[in-house]
Amino acid sequence: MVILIANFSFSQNSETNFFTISGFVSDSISGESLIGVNVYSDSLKLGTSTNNFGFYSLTLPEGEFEIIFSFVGYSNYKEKLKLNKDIQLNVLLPIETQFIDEIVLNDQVSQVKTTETSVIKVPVSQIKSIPAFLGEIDVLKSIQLLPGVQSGNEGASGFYVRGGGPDQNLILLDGVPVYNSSHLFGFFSVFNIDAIKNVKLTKGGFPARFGGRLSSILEIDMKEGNMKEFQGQASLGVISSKLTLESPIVKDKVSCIISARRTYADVLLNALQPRDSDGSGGYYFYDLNAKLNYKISNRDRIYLSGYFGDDIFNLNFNDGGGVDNLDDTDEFDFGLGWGNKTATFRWNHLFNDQLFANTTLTYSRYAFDIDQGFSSGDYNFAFGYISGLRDFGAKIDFEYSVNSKHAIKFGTSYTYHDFFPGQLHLDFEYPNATFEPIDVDTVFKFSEDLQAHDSFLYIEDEIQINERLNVNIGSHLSIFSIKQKNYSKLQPRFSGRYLINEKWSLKCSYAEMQQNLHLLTNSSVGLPTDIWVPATDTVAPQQSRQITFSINTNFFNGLLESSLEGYYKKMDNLIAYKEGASFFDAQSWESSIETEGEGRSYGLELFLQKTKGKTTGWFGYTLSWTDRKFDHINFANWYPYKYDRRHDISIVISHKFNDKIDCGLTWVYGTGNAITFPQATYWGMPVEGTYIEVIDYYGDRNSTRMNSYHRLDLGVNFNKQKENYDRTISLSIYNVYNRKNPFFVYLDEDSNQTVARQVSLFPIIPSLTYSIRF
Amino acid sequence: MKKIIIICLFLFSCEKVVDLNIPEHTPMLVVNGMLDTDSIPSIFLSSSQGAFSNNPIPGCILDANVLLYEDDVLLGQMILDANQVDTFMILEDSWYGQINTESISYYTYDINPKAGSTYSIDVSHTDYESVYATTTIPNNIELIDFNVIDNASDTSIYNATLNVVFQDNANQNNYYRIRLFLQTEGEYWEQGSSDYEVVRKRSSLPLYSNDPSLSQGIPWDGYTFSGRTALFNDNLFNGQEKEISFDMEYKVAGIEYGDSLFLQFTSFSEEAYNYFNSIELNRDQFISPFGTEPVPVFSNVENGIGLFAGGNSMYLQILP
Repeated sequence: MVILIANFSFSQNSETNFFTISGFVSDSISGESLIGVNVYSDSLKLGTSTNNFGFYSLTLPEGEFEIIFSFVGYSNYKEKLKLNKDIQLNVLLPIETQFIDEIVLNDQVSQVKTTETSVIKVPVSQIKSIPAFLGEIDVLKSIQLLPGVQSGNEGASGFYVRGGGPDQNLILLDGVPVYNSSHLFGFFSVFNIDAIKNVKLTKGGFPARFGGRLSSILEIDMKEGNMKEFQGQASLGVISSKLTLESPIVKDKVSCIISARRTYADVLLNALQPRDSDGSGGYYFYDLNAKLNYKISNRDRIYLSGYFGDDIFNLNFNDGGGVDNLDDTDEFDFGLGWGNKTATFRWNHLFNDQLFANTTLTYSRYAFDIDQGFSSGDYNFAFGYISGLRDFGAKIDFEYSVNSKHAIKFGTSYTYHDFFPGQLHLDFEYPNATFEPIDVDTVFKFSEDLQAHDSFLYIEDEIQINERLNVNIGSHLSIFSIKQKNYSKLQPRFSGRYLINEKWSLKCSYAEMQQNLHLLTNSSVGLPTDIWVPATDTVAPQQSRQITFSINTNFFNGLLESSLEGYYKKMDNLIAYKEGASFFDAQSWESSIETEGEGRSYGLELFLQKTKGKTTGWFGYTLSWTDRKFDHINFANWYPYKYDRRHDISIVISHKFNDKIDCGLTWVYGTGNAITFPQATYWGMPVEGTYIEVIDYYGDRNSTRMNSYHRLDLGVNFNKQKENYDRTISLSIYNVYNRKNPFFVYLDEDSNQTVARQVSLFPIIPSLTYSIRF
Repeated sequence: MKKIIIICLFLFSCEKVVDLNIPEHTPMLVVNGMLDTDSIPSIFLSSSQGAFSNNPIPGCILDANVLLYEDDVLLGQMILDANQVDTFMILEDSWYGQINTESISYYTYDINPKAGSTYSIDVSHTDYESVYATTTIPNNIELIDFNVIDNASDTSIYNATLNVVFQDNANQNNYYRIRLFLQTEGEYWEQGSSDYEVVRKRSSLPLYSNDPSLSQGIPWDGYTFSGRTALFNDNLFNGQEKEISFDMEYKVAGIEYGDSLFLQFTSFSEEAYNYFNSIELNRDQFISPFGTEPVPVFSNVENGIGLFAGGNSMYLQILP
């Protein structure tokens, strides 16, 4: 690769003089840096795009060119430049004020032309127009609507990419991994949309700079704070309220943003509860996002950001509380809490017009704890459980724009993981036991605390070989050390694009990935009790190899973009709970799991997207197969993964009638989840010489399908400009035609008839949200 | 905790009866048979019933053709033994109540299985697909020592410790089960009768251990294992001399006249181990969106369901 780079550099430099245009692109009103802005010379057919910090660097031959800056939702900016020296050009892009139906997009780098494969960017404005469940706009639920991405169960915000598990998604909030991305047992994600600027999902063809997960990288970037003027947003919803404030501290130099959200079901419940009630309880979650952004100079910029969020659930019954079997002296307490805390310090430094560096220091912590107690006149019982992990990380990334046909990225990262997978504390006192008093006070260590060193090096090179062929070649070396055991793996990465003509391209990619962390889960609802554990000397890291092919095109002068992508992914060293095991088994987690599992997933994804005009949205269809195999599960035979979904369709449409009214519609359809369900019953072996049990015969694991899932959601926003603020009233209707979608199915008796009974969670649910922007 | 989450979630929920796309179940032959060196082979046959059927499982199948092979050589036809009929309660599962009682008849063959030999059966019946199963009888357990430490003076409720020392066979995977039984004499009063008869009752007692080989059982009071069936394999001690200890609650000093306390130590075939292991897990499963996946019970019957397995048991007397 080095030789290749040298050859390219030499060949260009030897023929003519080259100069570099570089700078930052920002929003003209807020000063917020813009990610992914296309910077393009139409005459040379050369271009680049801004990085995660709004920086670009484009090296071109000497001459006079028109450079175009274009970005979805913003008006184009064009500047004629006489290039006979390096130029620094910072650009402020104005927001598009009117909708243009016919836009010529040939002058910008569309999905057809980028080398990236399996990447989807969802504009935040689009996410905000998607009808929201209980009025709570959710980033992860919008991600579930993309092809190749599947939701788990009804209402859950977890997502499954190309047959991977929920742990195989690297969710980065400002570059920091977020380990549990859900609130309220998975029904809402932890990301507050008002504090988010950018959402980008990579499902395959992973560039070398990414690693650590097998299935996807979800990058979520927080806003940096308005550099120009004070600005705020507030909203009042059915379940929560939000407030976001952003302001320059020193205009065009230092800004900050703070955004908070809290649910108030607990407050309402307590207010409505009679004072003499025997029971009390409540649940709430909160988020707090904050970020400070300081432009030290044109070459240096620092950011300090943090996220803090918790879910708190508690329940208490006194004097029986009306619960069966509890007498007047009984007291029952239950508490459950979980949450993430992350912090990031970033320093951008421009060494010169071609070399950009970003240094990041990170901290991330996730933990959950459960406490339960029961006391009566006769005995007391209490147990507590705690589990979690925390990370300290440091990372440096370099971007070097060698010339217009060459951009190299390289860097290194180190993370110190501190795992505390959990311990159960049990306390049981029975002083008046019939024979002897019982007093048991025991701690079961689910695992010893573990520390691990996780580091990687990478280099990738984006090369334009000719006008038609672009490739991104790279390699990612990961080194993981734990308990005197080292796992290292060199992971080759490749993606290439061949431009058939201006409207059609072919892409392919190959990526090997290694994941040094595992998630122990056997619930289907993303419970906080899912436990993160590291690879150890006896449990190897997960690995995958994925190959993709796609054909990409655009229609109507680029107004519509479409892709058809096929993929095959093989996964190794997967883990799963042993049959019958769960986190309640207070034995060592390593003895509770099956290791060396295999997974395979393959399918086709069709994506048709419209991002410009009054009507925007997409249509996604996925046809896929996903299987798993473990030596001691399903008697070592392949079986469908729980979220093996043969057909998955999503339609997302947003329409802006005028400045006052816009609306959104989503419709989703998915093949029913695979479940293990009794097929028959039979007699087992006699037990103790006295009885015979009737045993359920299941056939193969996950051999039965729940009924298909489909749902229509509608939403409409009424916007009004007041004297000092803009007001929006949002009405959304979840599950418009009140479909009873399956959540869980079990065998039951109904009028002496054995039947399958389906539990459905959410009927038609309307919701109303009132928001202001000032 | 699970129940509380369920209550909260299901505040929103509703239930309805649905049709699932499950192919209609064709009844299969069910074989249940454990061969042991101390008794003649006996198996009983029944059939499976579709999960949505409202009829009880039909009784024993009495007109099948059952052929028994030893080391691939046909021994002969197993015959329905009219003299060996047992009555069992039929339980819907181990937590719920009794459905009814059934008389079970056995097919037998008049030889004692030999340790180390492989036995197979071919079962055919006009109404069912023929089934086939095979198993190998484990070798005799090489017991080195067995002793009981009576802790009668101990204030702990665990009043005795049982030590079993044996040599594991290095050339094969071995599977073991240890159970503690108390056999007592009790009164059996027949309904409506003013007289009673004295019957012997056998019940299993709980064992407690910290041995790392015991993967099942409930951790309790400082023990990593507590349960009435200690099932384990030789993964951690293959080919070695193994000492395994259990504490037991029963007060050895308090045993009454006529009572008998003994340990049953069985070497299992792999099929038997898989079956008993999976059925324990099946009993403990908590199927829900928050619980475990359903645990299927192991079967080694080709084209059918059930267990045809081998065991080799020894009985270690503790008292009297």
